[in-house]
Amino acid sequence: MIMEPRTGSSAFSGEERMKHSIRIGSLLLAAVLSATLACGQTAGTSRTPAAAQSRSESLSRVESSRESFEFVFYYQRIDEVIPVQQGTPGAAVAAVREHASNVRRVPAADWRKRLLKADLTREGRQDVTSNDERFRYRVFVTKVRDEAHLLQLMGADPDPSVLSDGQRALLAAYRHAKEQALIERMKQGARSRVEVVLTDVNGHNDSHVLRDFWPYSNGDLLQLSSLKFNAPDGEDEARSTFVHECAHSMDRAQAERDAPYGPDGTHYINEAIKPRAAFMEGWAVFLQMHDSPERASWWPVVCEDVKIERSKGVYETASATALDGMTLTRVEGIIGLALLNISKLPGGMDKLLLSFRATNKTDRTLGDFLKDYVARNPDQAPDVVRIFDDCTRGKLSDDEMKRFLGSGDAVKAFLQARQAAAEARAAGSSATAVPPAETAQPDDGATGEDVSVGSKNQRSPFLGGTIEP
Amino acid sequence: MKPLYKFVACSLVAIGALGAAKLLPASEFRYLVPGNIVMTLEPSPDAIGLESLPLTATVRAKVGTPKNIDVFFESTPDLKVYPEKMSLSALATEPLKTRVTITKTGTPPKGVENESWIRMRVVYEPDYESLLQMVENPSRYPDPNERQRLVDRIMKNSEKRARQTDAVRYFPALHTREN
Repeated sequence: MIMEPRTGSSAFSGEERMKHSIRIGSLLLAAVLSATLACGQTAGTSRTPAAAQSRSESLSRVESSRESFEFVFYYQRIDEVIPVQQGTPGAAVAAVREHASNVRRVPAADWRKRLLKADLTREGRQDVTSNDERFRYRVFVTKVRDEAHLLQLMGADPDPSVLSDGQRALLAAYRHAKEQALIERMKQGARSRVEVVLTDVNGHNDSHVLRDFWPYSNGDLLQLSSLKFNAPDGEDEARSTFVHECAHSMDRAQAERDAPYGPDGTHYINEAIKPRAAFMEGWAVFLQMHDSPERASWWPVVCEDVKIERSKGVYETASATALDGMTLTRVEGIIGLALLNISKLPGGMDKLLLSFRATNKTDRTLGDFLKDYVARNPDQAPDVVRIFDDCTRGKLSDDEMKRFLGSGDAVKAFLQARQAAAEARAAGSSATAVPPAETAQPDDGATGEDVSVGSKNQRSPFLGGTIEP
Repeated sequence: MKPLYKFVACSLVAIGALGAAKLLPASEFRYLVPGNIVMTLEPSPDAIGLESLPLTATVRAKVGTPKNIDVFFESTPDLKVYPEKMSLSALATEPLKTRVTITKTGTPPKGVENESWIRMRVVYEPDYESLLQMVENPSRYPDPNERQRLVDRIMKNSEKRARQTDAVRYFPALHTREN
């Protein structure tokens, strides 16, 4: 085909060119609109007045919880790690044959898995490519019928005491999935069925195995591998990781397109990441803390310091007290802690799940969620505002607070009281001529008093105590 | 110009489809407790199918010197394994090899799900002191919170003198027919 020149003489007349341009323009516009709608990538921050007006209507339209929910388990065992010859004619032929055979399966970290879910639960023995081109895996996959079947597949029927630590952890996750409380929670999510691939690495413990089979959820399917939990205390880790991945499977939200987790693509519980990603992870972290008192006491201490990725893999750490409030709202651990504290209000967990359902959309933000909660539960609004202010260290301006919580009476009353308290403190300080406290600077090694207080008595630094104005 | 339309339309549809795919949450950063041992169970060079299947079992320490080692060799009921158990007081980084002989005693189970296997299961007490030394190294484990978390876990396991179990299974059918 010959591309028509964009300018100059051509076989087209001016009218034809115009029609032609209009047709291309229409096609482009339609395609872009379709793609945008499909992705649900409408900007979360640019709400239209019409959308704001329909907020009260939307409060009454909550997707009902699901009548049923099921986990469908698959057992995947790595039988062999096969070195791949590279740079030989035979290797090239094998690669072409593999590509043509259309039986190519992909490991956990590969982006294609996001699209090719069906590939992951094909049963039988088959080969899986590694992200590390030097290896491939020969695996065996089968659907798990029940616990006895899983034990048989792991070579432990009828004696579970012969399980390896990693296998025992997978069994713990399987058993956790049968607990009614978790199933009831999953009914509040986006899916009535989630597939779970339990990967038994079968003694293969190289770093590429760990990377390829790292736990993840793509929504419809989640994976756990025995290697990550291969320690005497692996069962607790497996259960908690399972809860985390389940939380993602409840969610319809999508992270931002552009480096949601920063340049290195990974994230820490105390790292400031993009807002939507932070809420998705914060929700998962919240449920982990809700189910694990040990994590609920430890993670808030971790979030005393916040990591900021300046360039790929290069982090700076600052005391949370030294950062601005908006940055703190992008830390998943801080969001998780706010949700955890809200869950402790009367009926809080049920109310959180209701708001989760009501706002379960691709572009959900923390603000969407909190505004919904406050609007539905005006009696708890003062507590929610206080909790959010505590978690963000009183660093959010009045306008910023309203952006997350709305402009209801409780919010306004809290902000007025906060202002009055700040003025009173300022007046008291000047009256007693106390020298001002040294202001912590970002990246100063995070050795401030707040950190040591939180670390020593394990008390959550976000609750109680003095809020810096 | 039809091909141009097709090209543009297909490209945009492809972009849309990719965009519609749910973006995965990234992997949360976690340090893992280091692996203590390396073990393999492989056919010996003189193995000839299932009729004669000596295996070579290899085990070595990866971190420190694990103690109180019990090595079990187990199998599906259709096979008999010798030796069944070995005990060692400690394991060094130098690989320890042993020959495991397999005898057929019954009909192999049918179906890939039930195929025969031989397992080497190693139960041991990790060298917790060496593990701690390793994870307390800030250059290897730079994140202070994650490092401390790892230290706490290892300390807890150490206080309990928790024994660890690692295992590997070998499936003879892998090498006796085309899979």
